[in-house]
Parts: sequence; C-alpha cells; structure tokens
Amino acid sequence: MLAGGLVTSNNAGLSVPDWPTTQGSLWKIPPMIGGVKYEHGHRMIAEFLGLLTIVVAIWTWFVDKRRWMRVLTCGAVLGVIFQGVLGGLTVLKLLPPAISTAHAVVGQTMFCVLAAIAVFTGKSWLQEPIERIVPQESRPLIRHLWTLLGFLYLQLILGAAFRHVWTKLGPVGAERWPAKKIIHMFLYPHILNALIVAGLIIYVGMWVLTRYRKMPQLRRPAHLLTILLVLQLMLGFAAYITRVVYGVNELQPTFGLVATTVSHIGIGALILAFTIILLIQVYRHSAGADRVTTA
Amino acid sequence: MKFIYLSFASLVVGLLLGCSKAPTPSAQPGAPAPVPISVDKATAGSVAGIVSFKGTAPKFPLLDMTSDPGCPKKPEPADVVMVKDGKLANVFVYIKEGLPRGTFAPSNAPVVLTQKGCRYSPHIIGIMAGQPLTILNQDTADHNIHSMSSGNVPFNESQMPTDKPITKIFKYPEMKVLLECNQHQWMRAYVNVMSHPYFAVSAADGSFSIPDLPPGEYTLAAVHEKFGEQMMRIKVGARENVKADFGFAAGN
Repeated sequence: MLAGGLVTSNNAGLSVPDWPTTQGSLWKIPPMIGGVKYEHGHRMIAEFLGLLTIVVAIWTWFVDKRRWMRVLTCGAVLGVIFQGVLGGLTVLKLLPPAISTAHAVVGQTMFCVLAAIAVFTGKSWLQEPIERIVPQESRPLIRHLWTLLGFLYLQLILGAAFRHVWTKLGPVGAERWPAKKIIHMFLYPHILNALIVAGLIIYVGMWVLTRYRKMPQLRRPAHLLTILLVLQLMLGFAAYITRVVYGVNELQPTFGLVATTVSHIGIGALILAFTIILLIQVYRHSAGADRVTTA
Repeated sequence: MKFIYLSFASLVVGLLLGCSKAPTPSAQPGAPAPVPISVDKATAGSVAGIVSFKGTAPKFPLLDMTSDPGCPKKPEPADVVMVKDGKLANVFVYIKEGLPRGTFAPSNAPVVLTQKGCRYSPHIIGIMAGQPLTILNQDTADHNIHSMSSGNVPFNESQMPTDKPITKIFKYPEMKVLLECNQHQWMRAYVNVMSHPYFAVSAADGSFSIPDLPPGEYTLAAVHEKFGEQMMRIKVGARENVKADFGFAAGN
C-alpha cells in the first residue's frame, strides 16, 4: 500500500508501460532507477504479497478446521488477484481515475481482510471471551461502528479520487481540469467528511474506553484509533499544504509532498483496519455471555 | 442515512466515470467530404512578430535529475518560462479563425521530438493532423513517452537508448496534448495538433514567422503554457508581410 502511494505521489504509474510483463519480461528485473523503481518495486511487493496470501490459504486449508476461515483465506487470494488485475488495467488503460481509485480502495480492503485473518488466527481469538457485552449495549455500538466504516470508505474513495484525478487531469497531469475544480469536487468533501469521521471515532473511542476498558481486545483498537486519528488529521493538513498550497507549480514531487501523502495513506489504512478489528471484537464479545459486563 | 450514502456513492462513481471518458474524435462520420485547399504562393502573404515579456519571470526550482545516472548530474534550470532580454520563447502562435473552409494536406516530413539530457526538445511542438511525429532517444537513460491526449488515441511506450525511433500520428486537431515521461517527472512537452499549416513557435529571441498565408482576415492567437492565450485580429493582403507582436506579463 505504501509502495502504491509512492507510485502515485511520484507520478510513476506509467513508467513501465506493459503489464503483466515489465519491459517485455515476466521475470527480469529492470534497472531500478527513476520512476521504474517505484512502479516495478510496487509490482514485486504485490507479487510477494500474493505468494504469501496463497501460502496462508493453503496452510489454513490443511491446518484450520473452521470452514469459514478456509473460505475467507481463499477469498483473500481471489481478492489479491482481483487487485492485481485492477493494477494492470490501471497501467494498460493509462490511469483512468475510476479504475485507479478502485485499485486504491480494494488495496486497503485487502489489507483489512488480511488484518482480520491475523485476528481470527490469534491466540486470544481461539479462547472463549471471559467478559461479554450485554446486547442492549452492543447493538448501538455495532451500529455506530458500521456507520463509521461507511464514512471511512467514503473518505477513502474521496481521497483516492482526489489524488488520481489530480495526477491524471490536474496540474501535474494533462491540465484539462483546473486545480480549483478538483479541489471543490473531491478535496473539500474529503475535508468535510474528515470532520464527520473524526467525530465518530472520538464518540466510539470514548464509548469503548469508558465502558469496556477492562476488555483489552476492545480497549486496544479503540485506544489506537484515537491516537491514529490525531496523527491522521495532522498528516492530512500537511499533505494539503505540500500539494495544494505549495505543490501546484512544482515540476517534480518534493520530499515533503511524497512523505506526507504516503504517510496519510498508511495511517488511513490503519484506521480502517482498526475500525474493522474493533467491529469484529465487539461482535465476538456481544453474544452468548457467560458473564455480563457493562462497565 | 441509507439515502445519504447512496446519493454520495452515486455522485462519486458518476464523477469518476465522467473523468474516465474515452477520447472522442472530432471528425463526424457521414459529414460531406471536405474540399482540399491549395494556396497560391505567388499571392500569399505572411505574418511575423516578436513575443515579449514584461516584469519578472516566475522562478522555478532547479531540477534534480540525479534519480537516474543517465541524466545530468548537476541541477538543471526548468524550461517552463524561457525569458531572455524581455523576449519570451516557447509561445505557440497560430491562426485561430478566418481560414477558408476545406482541408490542408499534411506534410509527410516528420516533426522530430528528441529526448536528450533527460529533456524534450523542442518543448513546444506544432504539427498537422496526419503528419508523422518521430520520437528519438539520444540519452543513455531509458524513457517512456506517455501522451495524455483526449481527442486522439493516447499512448504510452518505452524507449531504450538503443531502440528505433517511435513514429506516431495524431489524426485529429487538438491543442496542448501533454507528453510526459513517468520515469523522469520533470520531462514534459506539449503538442499542438492543427488542421492547417499556419502556426509557429517563438524562438529564444521571441521571434516567430508564419509564411505562405492566403490573403484574408484572421484571428491570430498566441498560447503560453503558463500565461494562457492572447488573440488579435490581422488583415493580410496579397504578398503582404504583416507584423504582429504579442506581449505577456508576469501575473497573466
């Protein structure tokens, strides 16, 4: 994901025009210089990740007795393949913003699926929860978390669309769309939605941290979400300054622009993943209680 | 809540699909066959002039090309705004309106774009629709040439130092087609594809000249990639050499 962020931020997505080959070869590594080091580096990491996902799926198939886990890991393999195809289409179709944005969104979704697999195979998951949440409390919490997830996805789509339209049609691209139009269409809604997301994270975070602080599976992701939120808002502001305020007339991407944008993407993915982990843990702790806890 | 989600999602999807619109050629199928135009050189006139620049030219940071050992090692000046002694280079000057209806046959002689020193030369290109564009790589670095055309078929091809020249033809008129190299982000050139041969690019001393213009009244336009477009009306008589100067200024 970070490698993908480096590709877009360095406008290097088309430095290797062919796919699935790279400069005509499936296995030769081209000279890793200029934009090629970002684009081919991203492809190599993606291939390795795909290989690891296949290993996880095979391993799960033989070791894990839970049928749904087998289905989930096989689904992860299909998801990674789909993500690869989206990446290929992005290259072959010369970065259409819709496909490039879908590539960014599916990439983060796959990251969340793999994070969920890690949770499902963790030691604490395999033990029965000691404490549980009463259904009257878990239901609204689950509802809030689904709402947060919806706004997070909207945030992700708007952010990715802003970067890809900016690169393809905006000031660093074909200059067919003025910067102002792209900012009004994607960046301002992204900023507005950030406020909604921030409000929801603070609300859900406080809810969990005040009521279920004795449940580490809930407390930890909630705690991390609130910390990551602060970091993400600062990075978002820095990314805005480096790209929109100072970066419009830059002829090559500055270190500041690349660093803030890529970090913003990475922290955004972590927020999405921890929201999903928190949601999973709330489901896990909300049914068939042996002992009920409310605070 | 569901309604808000759905509306927002439809809006985003709609916008993205709109951004991904396929190129639409400007030629209309079924339209009457255009009449070829021949210009009588004995009566043709010309227009020439100087593009000047007032004020302090905007400064761009020096380009750092060290990401590729095949590119210059020292920081290089940007080629976006080229002002020397108050004269502005790389301004595309062309006849915008007033030419007789019909078609002008494109030249078979290719326009050559060279990649040298990890830059495009020339930076601004004028070419006729149907005329070949030949792209050379005279660097020791690999390049990719990506055309961000919307009215013609866009392309993206690699070119190694040992590779043969690449030849491309833009079928339809289109202004300001960006050519970029994604291996070296500072490499940008603009191609202006015209339906007629009456265009020029201002030289380092700001001068331009458009010869063999049939007598008539025209709108002459001058476009700079950062300072936009200026227009003026001109009248060209038989064998008349018309003078037409343009002036751009900082903050335009």
